[in-house]
Amino acid sequence: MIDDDLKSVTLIILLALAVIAVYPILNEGRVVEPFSELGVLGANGKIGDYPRQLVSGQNFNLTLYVGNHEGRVEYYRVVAKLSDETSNVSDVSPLDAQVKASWETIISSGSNSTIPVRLSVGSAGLNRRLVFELWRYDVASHDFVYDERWTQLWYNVTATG
Amino acid sequence: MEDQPVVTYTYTKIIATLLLIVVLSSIHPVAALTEDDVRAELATAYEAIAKAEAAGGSVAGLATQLDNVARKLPGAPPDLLVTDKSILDAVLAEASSAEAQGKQRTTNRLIVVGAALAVIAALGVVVWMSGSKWFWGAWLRAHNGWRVERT
Repeated sequence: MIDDDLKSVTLIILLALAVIAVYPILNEGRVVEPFSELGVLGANGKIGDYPRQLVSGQNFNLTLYVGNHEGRVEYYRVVAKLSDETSNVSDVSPLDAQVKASWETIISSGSNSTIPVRLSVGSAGLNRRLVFELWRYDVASHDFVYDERWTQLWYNVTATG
Repeated sequence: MEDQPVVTYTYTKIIATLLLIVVLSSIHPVAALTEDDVRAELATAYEAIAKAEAAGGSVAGLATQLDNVARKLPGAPPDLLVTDKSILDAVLAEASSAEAQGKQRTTNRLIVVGAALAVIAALGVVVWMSGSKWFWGAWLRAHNGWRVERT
């Protein structure tokens, strides 16, 4: 009886050892919850200090932040689109608006990238918004697909004086 | 002796033609290279390093090189496009060796896992067959002053 108990305990310890030995090797580099990040920072690369009152045709600076936690190297494209309060931005499909500018970056897993950008807006108006969308290169389709990540910047534009 | 000038002239024509071909073939791709061409090759190079990484290869350095190309690509002047293309060609070449190294590393890892499991399984068999004998032998040696009665 004691012999059987001894065998069982020893085998359980050996099984635990097997799991401890094998699990880290098989799960090396695996990401449980993969995701990407997109953010807009001010001209100095920090949150805040965003331009709110813009002059038509005048340049302003921003910084884009893209983070990769997908568990693999990613090829991203950030697309800027001009819009206003009447349009709906969706988490599922990209905004149906003209592309103002785009930037591309390739980021290793667990890394991030900041991209200084220089933009200008056209006609004067209130409650305009600049929508930034994150697109990701899809190896299967050999094209960029919408990553369902977006952010925006609200602003008013005054005509050049 | 009288034929020699004709032969020399023929050689000169052949060499001149060959030189012209070499010059034209080296100039042609530079003139034709566009931003879209480099962008297409950038996508190909990215696919290559993604494949290498999936095979277990280390591609962080190659990704950094591609990122430098991607960031400078919009509106890049022709001479920069040529430089970008040569970087992409180098990355493509290195991606295949990174993929091979990754495959080797994955194989090595599987061998280590297999060996560890084999050793643990062998220990399990040994424990199952002789574990009790060893345990009680050790117990008796540790308690040699004791009187043991088998019941």
